[in-house]
Amino acid sequence: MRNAIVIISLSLALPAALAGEGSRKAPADPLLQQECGSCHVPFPPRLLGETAWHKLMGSLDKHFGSDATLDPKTRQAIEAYLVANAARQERLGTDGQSTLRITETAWYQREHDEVGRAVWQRPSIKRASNCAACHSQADQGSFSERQIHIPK
Amino acid sequence: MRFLSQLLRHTVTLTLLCSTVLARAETPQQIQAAYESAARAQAPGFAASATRGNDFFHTQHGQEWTCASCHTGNPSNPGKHVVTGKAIQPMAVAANAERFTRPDKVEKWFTRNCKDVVGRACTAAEKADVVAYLISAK
Repeated sequence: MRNAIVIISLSLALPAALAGEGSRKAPADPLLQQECGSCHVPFPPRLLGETAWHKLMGSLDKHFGSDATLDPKTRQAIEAYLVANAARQERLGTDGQSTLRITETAWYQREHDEVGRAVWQRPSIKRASNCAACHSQADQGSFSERQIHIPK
Repeated sequence: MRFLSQLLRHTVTLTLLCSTVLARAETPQQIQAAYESAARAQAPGFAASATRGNDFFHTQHGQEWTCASCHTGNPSNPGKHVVTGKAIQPMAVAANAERFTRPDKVEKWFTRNCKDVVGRACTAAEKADVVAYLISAK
């Protein structure tokens, strides 16, 4: 009996350990690409935690100053995908508070701390949310280091 | 469990995508006619006007943005999201044959964008005028 419990706990723990903390890669979701991707880069679900995604998808009528409402069925399907593939822990802002802006999270700031202010201000980049300016495959949800080309 | 929930989610996604594809395609003229007939419930004898639609598209309606803020002053040109910079395909039917062929898509974008540009839902008459303008724009 004890052996059975050990085997079961191992089989549950192993895949989670192999997946790596906070770096779950999710297959691209066609609905997310189509609906979120018509206005901005379809941000990968691992960039925010569950609570943040629920909050964001529950306030699409006031989406960073714009109305981004979806029909309930589509919204629920996208929300389920985002939550199922979310970061394991909430990504907090640099002030330790929760935030819905990916670019304000401590994680994002840390990942981009080597990018100088003058680079951000280039007309070809302009905004931190303009992922595709440097991440050439961002539209496909891929942010690999090898695909980074910082424009002049 | 995770696998099951993913399978379920993918099934939902596929069903949604299929239903989008299967949603009956219409012509821009049919879509304009549907808005015109809805507008006649309020104003009998209403007829869509491309001239009024042109004015509506290019002027401010009490908010910061106009339609042209993202779609540019010439709807035959590609546009650009004023905040994110994301490319937007041309709105004029002459430049983009896919425009105004899916009623659900048209309604989705009028719902969103009218809130941003007009601060309320657009009336059927306003939608009919804008569609007429974008059908006629060369």
